[in-house]
Amino acid sequence: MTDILSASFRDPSGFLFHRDGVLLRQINQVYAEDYARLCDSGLAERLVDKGLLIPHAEGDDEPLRPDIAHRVIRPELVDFISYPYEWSFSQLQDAALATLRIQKIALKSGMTLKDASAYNIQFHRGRPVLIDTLSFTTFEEGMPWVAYRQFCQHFLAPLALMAYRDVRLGSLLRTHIDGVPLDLAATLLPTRTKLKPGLAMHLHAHAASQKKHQDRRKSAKAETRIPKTTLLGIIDSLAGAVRGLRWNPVGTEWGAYYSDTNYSDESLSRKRDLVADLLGRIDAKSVWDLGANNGFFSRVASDRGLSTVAMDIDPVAVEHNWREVKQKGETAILPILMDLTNPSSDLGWDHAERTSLQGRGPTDAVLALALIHHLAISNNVPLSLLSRFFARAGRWLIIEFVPKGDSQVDRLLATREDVFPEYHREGFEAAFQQDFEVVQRQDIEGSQRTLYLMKRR
Amino acid sequence: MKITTLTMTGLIMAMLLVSAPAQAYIDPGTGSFMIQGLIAGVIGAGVAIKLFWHKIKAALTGKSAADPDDD
Repeated sequence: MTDILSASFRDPSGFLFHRDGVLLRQINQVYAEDYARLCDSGLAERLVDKGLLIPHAEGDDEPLRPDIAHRVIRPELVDFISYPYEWSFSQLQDAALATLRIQKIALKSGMTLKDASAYNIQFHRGRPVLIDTLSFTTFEEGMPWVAYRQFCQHFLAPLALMAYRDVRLGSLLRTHIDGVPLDLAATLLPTRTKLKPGLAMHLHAHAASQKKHQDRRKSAKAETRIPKTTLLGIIDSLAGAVRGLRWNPVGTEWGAYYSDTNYSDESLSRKRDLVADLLGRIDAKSVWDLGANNGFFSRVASDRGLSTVAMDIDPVAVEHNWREVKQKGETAILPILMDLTNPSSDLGWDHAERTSLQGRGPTDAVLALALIHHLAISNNVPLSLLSRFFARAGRWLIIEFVPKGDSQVDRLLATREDVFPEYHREGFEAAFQQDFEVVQRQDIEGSQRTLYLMKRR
Repeated sequence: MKITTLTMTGLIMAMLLVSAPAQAYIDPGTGSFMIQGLIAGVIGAGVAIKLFWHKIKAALTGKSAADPDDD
């Protein structure tokens, strides 16, 4: 069984495809020379050694399109593909800086990045890496950076908006698949950003230049020559502009969640032991922790070596989680931003360039701790639909039922009418019976909550 | 004869102007190219001074600039 990856069509240099479940990349003849330079110059090896480029193996796999093929390589697999609109501020910033570092190293080896798409960066074992081995081309002395516009749209503009206007503007990347248009960013940014040299040049003046030259029919290539040392200076200047952007993660509803719940330290650690015990009973390699907050319980899974995606709706929580990943050098956990009431959908050309959350599943095990009341009560999702959602997401489900009478549920019901007559333990179990069988049921001491281990039917 | 030469020159010039860099499959954008030229002018002097300074420093200390990616 073979199929070409639906996002892999823009660059004529090659494409990704699956054959019998194995991910392969066909390199086309037009890219043969660049590929040889990438390997022979030692650039590929250097970048792989620095953890900036995904490693690949050269085998004797048959190409999918032999008529245009040069060779086929096997890239190392990334556990979970995430998208820039699912990253916290620092994740996007780190991806931007990785891209610029790669570009600098490439320039010093006589090559250059021909694209700077944020989608070419993935978080792999706790670090941003370039997954597109075909992004490099031979550097022509004097040439400006072909991917400069794309870099500014994919990274600089959204980061500036997140830092200077509102962190939620990162979601503009979801509506603008090729990055935030610079004129839009320039309009939305506060005027004082024009006084920041990096943003003044790379964003405001850049947007103005685009506007000025939008009707030109000829290439500016012959007119614009930049010495390599100056081009490296421009990359440094971009890196300075990116590094200079700061966002302080405070002030959302969830920021201090664990210091503001009805769990004491003791019962929190008891719950953690319980989750660890349940995870130990199942044959899972991958976990999605839905509503993960700062990843406290995700780490029960990732510390056991399970590849864990920690999803939360709150940018502050995801930011804290990512900072912890970096600080501890963790490799098995990936924090991402996800609104489960409106999860990432299929996007892009023919609805197929970027995959929905469920399309990237199923995972082995789903953790849904202190989550169900938010979906069932705040978002009015019937329990039977929740059961179906979780059953699509994973084979195993570790779920905490939070009943009425619990202070967190009462808080949600305090300002609204209770239209949830089925929302009780028996109703929950009856609804989930349709998709799951209960393997274990455990009351959580010191609370009215119950923890379940369920297996999909 | 003159016209032919002129036409040829014109054609070559036109080809040079429109030829895309190898494998540039995304549109770099004319405005994005032009602004890089301007920025190069702005920071070019700074880059030259920096390089000069690094050279002096390297000559004095015997050590080259410490960029971990310079290897």
